[in-house]
Amino acid sequence: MENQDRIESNNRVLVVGGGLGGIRTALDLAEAGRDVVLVDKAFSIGGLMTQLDRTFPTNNCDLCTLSPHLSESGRRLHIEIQTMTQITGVNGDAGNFTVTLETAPRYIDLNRCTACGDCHKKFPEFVRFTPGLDHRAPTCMRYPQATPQAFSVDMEKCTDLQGLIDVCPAGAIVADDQVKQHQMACRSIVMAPGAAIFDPGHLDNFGYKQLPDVLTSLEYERILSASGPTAGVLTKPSDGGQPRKIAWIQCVGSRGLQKGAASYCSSACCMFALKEAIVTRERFGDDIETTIFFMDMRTFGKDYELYQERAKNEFGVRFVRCRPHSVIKKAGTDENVLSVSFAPYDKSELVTEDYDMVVLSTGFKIPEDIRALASSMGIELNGHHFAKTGSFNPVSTSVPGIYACGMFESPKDIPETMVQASAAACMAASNLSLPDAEQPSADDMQDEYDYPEDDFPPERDVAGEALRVGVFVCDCGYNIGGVIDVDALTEYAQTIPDVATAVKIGHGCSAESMERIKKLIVSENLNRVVIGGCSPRTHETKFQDTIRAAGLNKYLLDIANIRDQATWVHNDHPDEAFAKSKHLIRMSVTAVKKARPLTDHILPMNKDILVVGGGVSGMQASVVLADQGFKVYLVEKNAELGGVAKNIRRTLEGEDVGTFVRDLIQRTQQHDNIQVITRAIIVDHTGMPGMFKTGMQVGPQMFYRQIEHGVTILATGAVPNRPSEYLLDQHKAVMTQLDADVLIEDQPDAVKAWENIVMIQCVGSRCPDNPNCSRICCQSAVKNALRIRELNPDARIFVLYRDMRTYGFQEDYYRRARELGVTFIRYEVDAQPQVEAVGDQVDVTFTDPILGRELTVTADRLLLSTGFMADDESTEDLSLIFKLQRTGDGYFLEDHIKLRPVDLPIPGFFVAGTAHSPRSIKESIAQAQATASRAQTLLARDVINLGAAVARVDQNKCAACLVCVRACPFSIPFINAEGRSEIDPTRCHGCGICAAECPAKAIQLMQFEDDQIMAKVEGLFERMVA
Amino acid sequence: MSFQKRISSGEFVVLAEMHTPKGVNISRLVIDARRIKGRVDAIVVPDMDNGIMRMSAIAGGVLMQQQGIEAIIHVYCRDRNRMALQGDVLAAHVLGIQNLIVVHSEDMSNGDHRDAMSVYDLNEVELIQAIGALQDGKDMGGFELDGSPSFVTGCTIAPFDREDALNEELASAKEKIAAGASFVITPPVFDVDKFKEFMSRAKDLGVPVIPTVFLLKSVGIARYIANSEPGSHISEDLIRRIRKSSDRENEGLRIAGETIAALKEVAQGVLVQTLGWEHRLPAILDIAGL
Repeated sequence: MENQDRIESNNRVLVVGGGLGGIRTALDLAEAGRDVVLVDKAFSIGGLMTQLDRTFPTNNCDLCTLSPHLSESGRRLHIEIQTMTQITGVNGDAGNFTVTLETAPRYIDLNRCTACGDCHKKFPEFVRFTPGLDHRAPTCMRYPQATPQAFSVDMEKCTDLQGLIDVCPAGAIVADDQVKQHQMACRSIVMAPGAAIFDPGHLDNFGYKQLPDVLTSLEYERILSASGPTAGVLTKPSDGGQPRKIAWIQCVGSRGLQKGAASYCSSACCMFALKEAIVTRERFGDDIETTIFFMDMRTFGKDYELYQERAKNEFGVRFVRCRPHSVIKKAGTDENVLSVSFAPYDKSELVTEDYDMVVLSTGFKIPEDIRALASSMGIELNGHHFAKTGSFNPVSTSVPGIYACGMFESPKDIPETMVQASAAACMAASNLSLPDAEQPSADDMQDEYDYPEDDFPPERDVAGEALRVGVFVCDCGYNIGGVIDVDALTEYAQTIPDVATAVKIGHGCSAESMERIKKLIVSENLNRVVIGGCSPRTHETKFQDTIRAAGLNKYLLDIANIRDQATWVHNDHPDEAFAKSKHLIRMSVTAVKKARPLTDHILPMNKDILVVGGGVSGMQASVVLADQGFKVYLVEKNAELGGVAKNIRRTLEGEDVGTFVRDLIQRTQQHDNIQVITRAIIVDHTGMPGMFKTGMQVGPQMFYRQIEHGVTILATGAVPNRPSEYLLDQHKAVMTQLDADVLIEDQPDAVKAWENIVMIQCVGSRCPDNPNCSRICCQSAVKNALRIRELNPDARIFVLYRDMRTYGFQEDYYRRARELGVTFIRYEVDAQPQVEAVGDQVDVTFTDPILGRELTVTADRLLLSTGFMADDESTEDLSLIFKLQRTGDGYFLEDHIKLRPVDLPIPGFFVAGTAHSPRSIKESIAQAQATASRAQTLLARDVINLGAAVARVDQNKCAACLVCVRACPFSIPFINAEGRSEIDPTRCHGCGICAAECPAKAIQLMQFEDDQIMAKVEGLFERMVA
Repeated sequence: MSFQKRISSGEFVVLAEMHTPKGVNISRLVIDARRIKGRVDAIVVPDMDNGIMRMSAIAGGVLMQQQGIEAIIHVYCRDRNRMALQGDVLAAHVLGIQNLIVVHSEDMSNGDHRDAMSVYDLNEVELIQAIGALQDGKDMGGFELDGSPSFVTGCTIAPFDREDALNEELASAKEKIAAGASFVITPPVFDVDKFKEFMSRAKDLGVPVIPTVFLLKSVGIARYIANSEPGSHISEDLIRRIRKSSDRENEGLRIAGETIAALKEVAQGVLVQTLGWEHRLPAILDIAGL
């Protein structure tokens, strides 16, 4: 009945596109208790990122971080994934859409396919795999951890249908599978279809497709990737030799440089090339020379400038500022050598250098089919065919109820995509009815909140049962199975005492394998489980849920990490890796025998939100959360709301910031669910996610009050930089871009009289005091230059810059400024412009690199592009009070720079706006909405699970020596009325310090008890003893 | 020895401020007060003069008396007319409260009930006079009382940053003393040398002067006061001292304790203001050697 309601209801969100952005949107919504349908036209979800080798700036392989999320999404009850599916029509309005979907035939029943690969082994020609470079492609799965984990059949190529049906042991082949059309009702739609990569094939000057050693950056990525066509061996496609010199050519397909190229900047390619060059140097050192040919290095993201510095100074990547001309095969030799010709920016001749391999940093564009889809949905696109959005509504399309995120909105990198994806989730949820409003009864509510305990059978009492350990060994595709003999390991496990059954389980984390584990636990009557697989850090919860679903207490599990600790680190010593795997399995078996059923401690969740900082980000986060029915405390240090944006008049696109900020302040102040507390300074903080308590001193009277809240959003902003350079604040002709923005708006007549204007970029940024790029100053300069020219078309404007970083569509404005005659002149960091006062004017002297000599301009006004600085003193104060980390330059450090850009490392803390890093109003608003979405994933829960790892005192052994009382960093243990130490399990953090210190061994940390650890050690040394 | 006796005999008095709860949960107030029982001469219980609605000071004062701790309560003019003020003062006496401080009240716009009506039927000087009259057996209407109360009544000096503001404050204090105030509480002291300069001027008042010592809980608070109260004399050195400390919380306690110790030579007492961190009062008194 209730399920029927849910099917018939339209209270769900449709997410189009199963790339990184779409997955994040779907997961955010699902974790907040909302129903989602995720459609992707591909065979499996994952999108572009799954093809990357490593990601900047951490250079780690993020597939391992990402893939559990992908299969997690399959596990969630709230997400329905429909692959090979496209939208063919949309009717209705926000809150009431009817969508027609068309699903192409897979010819394989997803519910039956176990991804065994037998079909592909027998009929590789008609079981589909990733096209392109991936000629190795052992399976049709795009990457080993594909979701859904199943194959698909290319029926057009299939010549032996019966043979295919016969070869499938699971009977999963559906020969008569048809195109299916169905309709679905939903309240909002999130468009995350991604973008395509510019195809340089038609460009005759770079020789792509003619010269095998000219690759796109994505192809190079595949060559570097361990799951790529060369299994990670870097070879030249032409002759298989290792390249010694590799060149990257930037802006291929971007910034209007080539035929058919987009006129915008693709934003991510500079970092992409830097990363590839760094990874290459990291792996091959001086064996490979790396050179990047570029016009401007646009490393404008958080700490990206430092990444570029590392590339230059640590890794010796060579940078050549130029316009590349052509790539041809070197004449007069049979060797595969490429000649790269380019025009250095400060010379007028063409220079030629030889390389073994050339990587084209290709940009992004929106392909035809996505344009057509968007138009059919009525979504207005901008001149570049991206979804049109506004600075104040960064993820809202022109159609109410339809939101856009990721590349479809504008070219961007992964962190910005993740931010927009969460923001889109937040906005899409605003059209849904609240989970509890729709299903008022208590039972229904629990169902809606998806508290997993409710779906599980009662726990079996295993006390007194004879030990029956089940060992399940994963092969993890090539990761384990490619190094050691998993069958032999399984046979060995079977011989360990008390092991009732040992089974090879393939990908243990796949839905099919987990189902098998569950069935075996029941049929074999197992009461302890060991998984020989990967890291408990990523997969423990998953397997805990699996055994819990089979009726076992979830703590009767142990994971032997044979992948990370044996087959990965010793992959070149398979025999030793096998021996170590045996040890690891045996240790886990002996330890799990001592495992006891434990109960998680739970507490009620406080659903109120503390937002620190009343600028645009803080207000935006508050308003969207308050609109969703949450109670918000907005705490601002100053007497008024508004932050830095209150002093900004226009965006680059010309939008009126003043009106927007005034409206937002009014909405914030008048919202029934928001309590604004101004002039408040935070002084103390305790608690944990779901039950924080923060103390603050409020108002001139310094009234102390404490606020109890479940989550915290930090939106404390940054301060406009104002360094004492170039006569700023000493001469009236010198001002910042922020000052000029106000003057241009408020005193246009005065600005009209300015004849000669000089702007200097990177003032107080990209310097030793503030090494990072402030991101917003290039666009501020272009914005003000255009506005000044509009007031006075005869004004002469000189912009002295180091790299113009007008990323994305800002490039259009940069080009327009150049077309209008604004002069952009580069200066070197070691040849800074000189400024001298001359009466009411200033003389600005600089070196023109093209003319190669010094020039002096007498300027009526000198505008300094000064950017942002973190407010070091106050972020330091807050970081100590909240125990958060900061970057070297004083911004709050997020949990994962790539995948969790607004989550802080302490659960329940989120960061938005310039407290994260310098950014525009649009980017700040997107982050604010993202934090609101991330916060709701926590707030949807009714209880806080404290886990079972808490310290417990054996009252009989305690001598009340006070060691634990003194050792505890959280002051939890106390001496109770009986004169014994007592530890409140609801407050214990489970760090184990007291357990280690207790001289009487009276304290044990549950889940990590001494006998379990000892058993593990004994398991390790058993053979030596025997 | 009672507060009255100590102050009139010229001995150093130690006062601590404790706020009533916003609500009826008095456990924290009582626990915090018990912790410093015997270590302070009296506890000052502010009323709603800071504009935050909370349990009224009379009840707080009575709670202190019940714990065996002498109480001093705030009275102020914004919320009550002369009827209510006189009635409350009589009630306070009957409930055992012997000490009052007539304080300035925060503007309603800075409070948590911005739409509340301000009264200001009396000003501070008139209120002190009225308290004096009640002690003499007469109310403000001129009617005789059936039994008259007795109090030690104090007054306050508002923060000042310039010479003329200081002169104004001293003149106003003189008026209050003439009306019957017998001690003066000053704004928070962060620079003892500057306070000494002030004391050379305040000697003329002829009554005990008790400086406030304010606990700096964080750099943020120190910075805020330094910016918003130029007369506070929080130096960059002081802020740097907290910033450089490996344990900022403790550094704040040390600064407060050291200030109290230094003021022993200069003033006739201290009022320790911890605003929410009353549980740290014992630590401050330890450092001060009290």
